[in-house]
Amino acid sequence: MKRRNVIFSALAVTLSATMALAGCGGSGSSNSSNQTLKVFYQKTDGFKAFDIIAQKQKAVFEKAHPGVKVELQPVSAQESDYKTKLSLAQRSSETAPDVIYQDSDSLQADVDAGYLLNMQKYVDKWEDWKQFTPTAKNIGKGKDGFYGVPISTDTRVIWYNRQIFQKAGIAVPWQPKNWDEILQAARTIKKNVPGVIPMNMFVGTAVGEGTTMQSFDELLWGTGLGDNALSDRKTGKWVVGSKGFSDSLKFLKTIYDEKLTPEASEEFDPNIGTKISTELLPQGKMAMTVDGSWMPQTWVTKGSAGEWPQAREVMGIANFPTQHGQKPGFTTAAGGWNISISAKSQKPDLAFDFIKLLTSKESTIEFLTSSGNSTVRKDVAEDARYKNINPFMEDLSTSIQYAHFRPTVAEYTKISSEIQKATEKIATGTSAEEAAKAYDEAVIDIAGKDMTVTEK
Amino acid sequence: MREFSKRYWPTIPGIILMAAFMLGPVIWAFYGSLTNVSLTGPRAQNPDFIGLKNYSHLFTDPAFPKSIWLTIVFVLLSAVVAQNLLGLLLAVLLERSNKIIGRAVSTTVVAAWVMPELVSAFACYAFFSKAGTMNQILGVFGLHEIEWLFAFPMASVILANIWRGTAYSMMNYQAAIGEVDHSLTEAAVVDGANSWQVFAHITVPVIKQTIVTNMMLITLQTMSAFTLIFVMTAGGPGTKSMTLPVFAYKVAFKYGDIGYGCAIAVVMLVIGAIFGVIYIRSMKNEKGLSNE
Repeated sequence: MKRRNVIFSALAVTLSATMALAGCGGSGSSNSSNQTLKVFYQKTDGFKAFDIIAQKQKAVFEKAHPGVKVELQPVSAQESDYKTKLSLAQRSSETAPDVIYQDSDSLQADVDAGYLLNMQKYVDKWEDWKQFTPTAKNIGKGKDGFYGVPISTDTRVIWYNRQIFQKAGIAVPWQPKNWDEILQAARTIKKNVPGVIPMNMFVGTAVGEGTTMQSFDELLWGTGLGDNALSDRKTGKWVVGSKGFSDSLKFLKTIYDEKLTPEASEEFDPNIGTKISTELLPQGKMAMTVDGSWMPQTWVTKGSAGEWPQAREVMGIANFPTQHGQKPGFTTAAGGWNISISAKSQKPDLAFDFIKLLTSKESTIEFLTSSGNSTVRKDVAEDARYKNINPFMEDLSTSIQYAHFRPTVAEYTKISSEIQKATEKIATGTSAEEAAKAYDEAVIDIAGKDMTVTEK
Repeated sequence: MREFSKRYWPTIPGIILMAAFMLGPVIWAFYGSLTNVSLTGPRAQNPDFIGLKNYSHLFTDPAFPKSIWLTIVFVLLSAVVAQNLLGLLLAVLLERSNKIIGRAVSTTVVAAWVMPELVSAFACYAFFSKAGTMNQILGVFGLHEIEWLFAFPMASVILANIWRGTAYSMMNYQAAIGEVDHSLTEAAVVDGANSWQVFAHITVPVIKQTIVTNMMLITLQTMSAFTLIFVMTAGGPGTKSMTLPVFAYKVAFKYGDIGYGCAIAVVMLVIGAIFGVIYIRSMKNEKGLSNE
């Protein structure tokens, strides 16, 4: 009798303790008939572009392939949650989708994880592939071939409100030549136009990759080491202890300490980007923000929350300057999204056929018309419909020559999280030195000591 | 042995289900914690066995003691102190109150508890957020709005958890107090005891068992509270309200380090198991038997 008690008590302990354990492991299952092609993509209030083309091409595809059903799996989540959801779905062959829409930053990590299929043999035989510019092809390139067909690229610029600038006594068109001139402008606005938030640059983990790409990268790649400031492009070693890194953090610290930005609490809201584009800028409550080339899309889209017909007259674009104005004068981080095939897909041929439809000239124009990104196809770039997508397209096209791309290695996503953590610390009061030191330690931990290099 | 099987046969389906859905993930988490399995990258499908490295990392990670401390504060203040005492107080008052008032009060209290956790978490978020109810009420009195979730993240989630969880303790105590033999209390009153004395010397000793049970259960529940905190503050700002479950989630799913996240989960499991043992021990000491 005693023994049984022990067994049952032990069981009771284990089970009650299990209450403390939330969500590790486990796997879902879904019916994966061979005649179903699963398409996994992001769809939010602010981003419906992929959904639009997916719906449209689904009908075309199903008509051309009788007996095949395209199952659309839109995920309504902000970017970092979307990524998590995608990775989890890819872990098991039962939940892995066939066609995947994803940010190029996680491409190599997902290749290393064995999630993605090498598409080299498909693109080699594809007539349209020559329409993609060499730079664009890189977006979908892994270490040993192409793992994604890029559908769009994007750059980052300073969006500023001309009216507020004029009110503050700053001449427009405005183009800062170095970091100091950005600070000057923001301070002038704070002084002369009270009640307006002078500027925004993302910090923290809530915005996820947005913090790294739309904010920190613009600073870092404009410091002394230039294109090699994050990692050495030749050796692939991650840079630690650099002055450029702590200078970039110091710049962010300055704008937060001087209260030239929204409250840190607002910055830590994952929806801050949407709030800026749909409320703060159109309502004239913010003077400038650093954000992606897709910004105008919400303003020109009829019926969207941020519809703003006067945007063209009010908003100006400036390229982000290098730290001291050193050559080439400006920087921007460029990214892009790909459409890939899961390595676990049972029907890669069908999947590629569907990708061909999604990335065709017409489909691309339709996608970009809704998303406001830049094209990766030559034939689209020359099309009048593309040039007229929004009135900012021409101004924006100058920024691509200053583009820096993210390193396409598996460690990137983890190191990017460390950058976000460092900026979060800055905005919550930690010193730049301390945050930079914690970043260095984390990078050495992630990449290994021999894959880091100390630069001054 | 035959007697044993007869008595426990009916529990076998339950045990199998529990084993599949609880023990399975526990074993997986324990295994995962000994590897460097990650969400993506080369270690996603072919993790290395790294022994106790995740644990040694954990015990040198400055975020860990902070997270433990926040968990202790959260459990102690919101559950052990507030939910427990408030629940007991409500139960005692409801015993003696007017029926209609009693019903109204208990319905209100229970309403917070029967809502799905996600809904009550959103309700609390709406209450404490910058343009939320709390600030509007303060505004009526001409007070400045405060960013509660940002300036006082722990206080906010603790208050939210008190609001949400008190009903559970209250119902436990209501049931226990209802069982207290009236002849005992009447006798005490006849002997001249006042309400406090009746409560302290009759009610509390009689329901002592329930108090212990209740404390253990709410401790375990609160320790693993995730949705409430995640919805309200997501553990932030920074790490200022990052209790262990949120810590484990962030590490595993936000930063993709599943092995490390599992190690945190296993530590939580061990802490939970310790409470479980204390709980079962105390049951035995009280009655001299457990589940017989």
